[in-house]
Order: sequence, then C-alpha cells, then structure tokens
Amino acid sequence: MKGLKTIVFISLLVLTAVNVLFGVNLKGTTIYVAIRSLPETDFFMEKTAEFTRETGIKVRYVVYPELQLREKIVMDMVSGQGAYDVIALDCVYVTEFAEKDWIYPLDEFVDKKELSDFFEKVLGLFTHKGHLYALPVYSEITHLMYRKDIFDKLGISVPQTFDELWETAKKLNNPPKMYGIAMRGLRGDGMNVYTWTSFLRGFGGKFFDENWHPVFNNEAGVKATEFYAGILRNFGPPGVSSYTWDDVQSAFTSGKVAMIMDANNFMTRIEDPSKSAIAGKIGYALIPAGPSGRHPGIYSMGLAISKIGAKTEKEKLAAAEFIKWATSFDIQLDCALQRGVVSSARKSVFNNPAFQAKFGEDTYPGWLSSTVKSYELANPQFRPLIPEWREVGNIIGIAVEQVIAGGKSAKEALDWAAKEAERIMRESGKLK
Amino acid sequence: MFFIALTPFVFSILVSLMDYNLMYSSSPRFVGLRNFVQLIQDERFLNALRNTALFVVSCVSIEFMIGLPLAYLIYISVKKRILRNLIIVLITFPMMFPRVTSGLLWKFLYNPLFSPIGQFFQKVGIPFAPLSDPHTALFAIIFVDIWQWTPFFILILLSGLESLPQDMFEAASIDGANEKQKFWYLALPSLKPICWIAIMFRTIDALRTFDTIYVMTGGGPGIATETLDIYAYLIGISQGGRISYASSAALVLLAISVIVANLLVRFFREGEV
Repeated sequence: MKGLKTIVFISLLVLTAVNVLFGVNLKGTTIYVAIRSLPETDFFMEKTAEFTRETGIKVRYVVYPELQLREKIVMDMVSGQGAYDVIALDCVYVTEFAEKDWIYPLDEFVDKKELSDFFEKVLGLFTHKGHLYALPVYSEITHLMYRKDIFDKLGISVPQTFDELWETAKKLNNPPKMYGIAMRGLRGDGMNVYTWTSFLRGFGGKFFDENWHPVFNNEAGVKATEFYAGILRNFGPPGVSSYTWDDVQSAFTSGKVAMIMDANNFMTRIEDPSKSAIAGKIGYALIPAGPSGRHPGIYSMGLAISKIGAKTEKEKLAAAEFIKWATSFDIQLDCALQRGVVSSARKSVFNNPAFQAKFGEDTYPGWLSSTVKSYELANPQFRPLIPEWREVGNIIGIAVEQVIAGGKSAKEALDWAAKEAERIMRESGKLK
Repeated sequence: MFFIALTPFVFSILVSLMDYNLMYSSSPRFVGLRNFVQLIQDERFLNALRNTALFVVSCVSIEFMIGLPLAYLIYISVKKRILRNLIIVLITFPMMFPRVTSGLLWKFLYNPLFSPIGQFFQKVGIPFAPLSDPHTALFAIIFVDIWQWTPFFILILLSGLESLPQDMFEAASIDGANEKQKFWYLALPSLKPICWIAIMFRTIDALRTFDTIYVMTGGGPGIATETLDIYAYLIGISQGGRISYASSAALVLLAISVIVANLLVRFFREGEV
C-alpha cells in the first residue's frame, strides 16, 4: 500500500515537472515569424496580443514582400543563422525544405481529429513522404467565373467541357466591347503555368514519366498549349499574353471580359462594388472538363517550424502552439466574417452557418458549391511537388507565353522547354 | 578600397569556373571554362546578347541624334539665362523619375484596355498591345529609355556648348556663316570630346538597364526582352539557383562593358588631337 502511494506520488511529481517544463515554461518564450502581408496574415498579426495573453508566448513578426520572403528564408537557412522559428512557406517549396532538413514534421503536434477538419488535398500539398510539414493559412482552388447576367440574357449555359468553353468564348466575343475569355498569360511557374496545367491534365498530359524524363511536350501537351494559346489569342483581350492574375481580375471587373478561370478567392474583390463594375452579376462554376476530366488548380501557403531557427525544445513547442493558433477555426472564421476573405481550408469554416449565410448560393451563385467540390476534385500533385519544379515551371512558362504571344508553334516552344527541363533534372541528379 | 572592389570580382570569377548550383549541388567542383562553352551554345543567352546589343545601340544612338540638335537649338534660340534654366528643368523632368516608377508609368500607358492611349487605338481599330507582342516589346522599352534619357544628352551637350568661347561664333557670323554652317563647322568639332564622354557614360549605363525592363515585361513575352542582366538574374537568383552559370553570363556582360568603354575612350582621345 505504501509502495503504491510512493508510485502515485512520484508520478505526480514527474507529471508536474513535465508540466512545468513544457506548459508553464513556454511563458516568456519569444518566437520570430518570417511572413508576408496578406489579409489573412494581417488579421492574426493584429490579434497576436490575445495569443500572448493566453499562452505567455511573445511573437515577433518579420514581414517581407512576397518576392523577398523566399530569398530571406533560404539565406537564413543556408547560412545557419536561424533567425526565424516559424516561416510562411509556399506549398511548392515544402519538398525542397523537407529534403534539405530545414523544417520539422508537424505530426506530433497536431492530433488527427483536428487535422481531419482541413481539406485533405490541401494537407496533401504540405505532405512529403508521409509527414505533414505545415498548416494552411491561405488556400485556393481555381474555378470558372462568368457573367451570369449575360449568360442568362442570351440563354447560354455554363460550359462543361473544353469544346463548350471554346464555343462559348467564341459566341460571347464581341471586341472591343466584350472579350470572350481571359486567363493568365505571363510566364511563371505560379503564373500562366498554374492555369495552363488544368488543360495539360485535362487533355491527359503529364509533366514527367516514371524516370523523370520530361514528357509535357508530347501530343497532350501540344494540344493543351494550342488550346490555351488559341482560345486566348482568338477570344482574349489585347495584350493577354502578358496578363498576371491581377490583370485577369482587372479586365474582368472592368466588365470587358465574359469569362475568366482563376482563383476562387477572387470573389472578395470582384464582388466588391467599390472595386468592381460587375459585382452581383457573376456566376461561379467548376472548371470545364477535358477528355481526361476536370483538374482544378490548387495552391496553399502555410506555416512551418524552422529546424535551423527553433533549436530548443521550448522554441519548437512555442512555435507549434503559435501555428495551431494562427490556423485555428476561430481565427479563420472571424477573418472570413470580418474581412470577407475566403481562403480557409477548414471544412468547419465552410460548414459554419454564419459563413454560409454570408457567402451562400443566393448571394454568390455557385461559389460555395464549386469551391468545396473543387477542393475534393483537386490533386495535390497538380504541379509536381519537387524541388526542381520552380526552375522547370519557369521554363514551361516561357514556352507557353511564347505561343500565346505568337511567333512560335506549341511543338517548337515545348520541345525547347523539355530540353531545358531535361538539363535541369540531370543537374539535380534525378535523371541519371 | 582596392580590396573592397576586388573581392566580389575575384569571387565571381572563381564561381564562374565551378558548377555551383544553389538548389542541388552540395559540393561544387571546378569545371574550368565549361560554363562559357555552354553559354555560346545557349539559345537563350545568345538571344539576351542580341537584345542587349540592340537595346544599347538603338537607345544611345537615337538619344544622341535627338539630343544634339535639340541642345544646339536651345543654345542658339534661348539666350535669356532664366528662360534657359526653366527649359532645362522642364526637359530633364523624365530623368528625375526613378526607373521603376517610369517603367510602371509606361506599363500603364501601354495597357491596351485601360490607358487613354490604348483606348484611343481601340476606338480607331488598330491592334495595340506593344508589351505583349514579341516583335514590338523591346522597341516599346527602347522608346521609354529614349523618353527618359535623351534629356541627359541635352543637358551635357548644352553645358558643353555654353563653355565654348562666344567670340568664335560671333566671328563666324561676321564672316557670313549661317546657323547650319556654324553647327557643322564650329560647334560639332569643338564638342567632340564632350560627345564621346556623354556617349560613354550613357552606354555603360544602358548596358546595365535592369529596373525598367524588369517592371515592364520581366523579360517577356517569352524571352523577347531578356537582356544579359535580366537573364543572369533570372537563372541565378529569381527562378533557379545556377549561380556559376549566371556568374559566367554576368562576367561576359562585364567584359563587354570594359571593351566598349575602352573603345570609346580611344575615340575620345583621338577627338582631342
């Protein structure tokens, strides 16, 4: 009996000690967060005092512009300085960072039940070799946005296939008053390639074969590029070959373009009457299907813990606490309701009655359903999640832009890109 | 001072002889001149070389050919000091813009849907999207450079003209020379050294034009406006990690700058004699 008492006593002591070590001791820990400014991140940055009050963890933000953020983080990692404990990370970099052993897996910090609340495909973007490395702050899928008022007036139905998309764009094209369609034209792995890939996959194409030989220049790739460039050249606004997502958005909100295919969170701006001439006149739908089905684009930016920065156990735990808080249901729902941003990847946010009342089908026809459905349809490997992607993607971007701008045939441009991609895969060692 | 200037230079030469890639190679090896051999066979590099040459030659020559007569025109027709200063202030206005700002300004002016110029062309029915067409994009940027940097020539050549002895022109007038003759036989020969200096400065400056091109097209459409600077930046830092290869490309640019500058200095010396 006495022995049992001792055991209980000792285990209590140990538990308290653990508690003191891990629970209370996080108080006063300061973590540094490298991040970029987005409506989503601005929102939790403003609320950080609440987090500090609850946990005692102090948070310092280092805010960089989008283009510099990666350079600064990589510099910090390579030099071994470790200035940041938490880093904002694009999903396309996760594999690279994980392979270089720069970030911790988050599996031990987040329980399964909590994880099941996120769209599976978004977590897939942050998963490498079975481990989860980041939690999503900002997520998007691509879908079709169209002028519902015009479609209704002319009795046109929403295009469901690539062929119908072509026909609809042709029918609605009436320059210079109205152009049929606009999509990203400017080169870049996250620019034109992002929307072009829906067509590559839709026509049944792939980027690489099993041995990492580039195959995006085969028949499907050529077809996809001819379609993408063709529809934009014939029915797109002038200058579309250098369109960024921002240009796509401005052209649409000016009322001069009938359809666009881009990110679902465009909604916040294109439905804002102070910024958009077409607020309340827009319909949303899944992107059209090719011979090989529908392939919406998917992208996410998440928060990860730096192995170089968070060296001590305390920093690591504090960083994990911060990430869980910043991506929590409360933060993301409040952000959506107060700021009108809709980039959460939490099912509970999308199922929330207040969220559904604000962004429901009555107000924004088709938006909610096509967003949720696209998250289910999407493939995390939409763009290959490999460290070489950025370089390869940029090369493909050049080829696609050349075809849209004119002067090069799809075959010619893609063959060049494939040759360059092969060199890159050889340099990286994936291709022997 | 010498040390500070030399360290990065020596470092970049060393790097250009290796196969260092920020993304993939953990232990860079020396590969000799392999990068340079690859450069000569690289379609994209040769394209950048052509674009750089076309850009620099057209910008500098056109700016000079507009700048010189304008400077002379101001010199002979505006004699009042205050008026001349006012004109100089107005004329150098484009130069005051940071390149990023002027680039963004013109990017907007070239916008076919939203800019007044674009809307005018749309009404007339002429297709107008200069930055999105590979055949016109570089010329659209050259035009911006001319708009911004012709004042540089006017400014320097005008002060050159002002420093010439007045009696020379008066004597010519008494002898019955007209303005055209005075320009060709008096002003131009005496201005020669200053012309070469202005051309040299502008050439070296134009060789490393980065900001304007970067904000206006980023090197596109495709690779139509990639100059050596842009190309080296894209492959070395922004879109890949081929540091060694990019260093080699940058060294070629440096070599070209040095050669061109030397040639111009030689012309300048001959002009002195």
